[in-house]
Amino acid sequence: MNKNYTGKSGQLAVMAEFLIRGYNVAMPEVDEGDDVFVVHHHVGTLWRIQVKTANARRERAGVTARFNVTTAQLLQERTPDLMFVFVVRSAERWSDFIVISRADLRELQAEFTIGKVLGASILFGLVFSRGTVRCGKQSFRRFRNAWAAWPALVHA
Amino acid sequence: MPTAARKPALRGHTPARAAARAEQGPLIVNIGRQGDGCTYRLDPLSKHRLKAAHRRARAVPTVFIGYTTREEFEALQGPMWVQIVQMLTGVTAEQLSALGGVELHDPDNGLRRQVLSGS
Repeated sequence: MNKNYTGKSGQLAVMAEFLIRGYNVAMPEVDEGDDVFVVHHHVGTLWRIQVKTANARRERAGVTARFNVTTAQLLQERTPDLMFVFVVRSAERWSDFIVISRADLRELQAEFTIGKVLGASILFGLVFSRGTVRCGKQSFRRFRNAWAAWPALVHA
Repeated sequence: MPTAARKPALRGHTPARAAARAEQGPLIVNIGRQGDGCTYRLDPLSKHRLKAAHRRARAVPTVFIGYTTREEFEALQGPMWVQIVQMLTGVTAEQLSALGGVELHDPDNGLRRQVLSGS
């Protein structure tokens, strides 16, 4: 499938997840590197979200999805900081959301040299196997469907 | 040759394999300038170096300092940099100098500024 369709569908899937949790969402009119703004309407907290979507493939190591992150996105400090959501499409459904802050991804990348540097970007390969998810030798299990920062809100 | 040895270095950070080479160099604080201010954060590998030397140091993960315009960044915040890096590290300026000093890096445009020199 055309990557524009894949990318936009993943973005909308992430927006739907935030909405069902009671958070308002918006797409920036100007592309400054954020795909989605998420807002806690009552207290005004805002999150910047960058969505990356990949079609998973079955490989020898397990179901594998690869995500390309530009070096600039990974290194740039911002307030509020960027959150990455890696969306995995597998067996014709949204199988996993890897929710990880830019700072956490940066720290793992720097400390364990995970990901493959390709010019101005880094390719992160996530392998899903028997309930685990790994990037290189690092477990990403704690980031799998990690929506705890956005507990469901009750609206009157 | 091991696979890891073929990985090119990522601009703005030191891969773990090269950390030993950087041990004598300054600690790195990465910055990000945006419309209303600047965010400061200790680079992950510098954080590990600091932890190894000062295990009990208590520090804040990030500092955000506002400004009115980007142009006044250095003039306004430059005099505060020593205080900022002490907040980010939890140790004194003398202890930071003993570790090799501190540099600010802006990965967006390659800007580098020395905050503290090594002793």
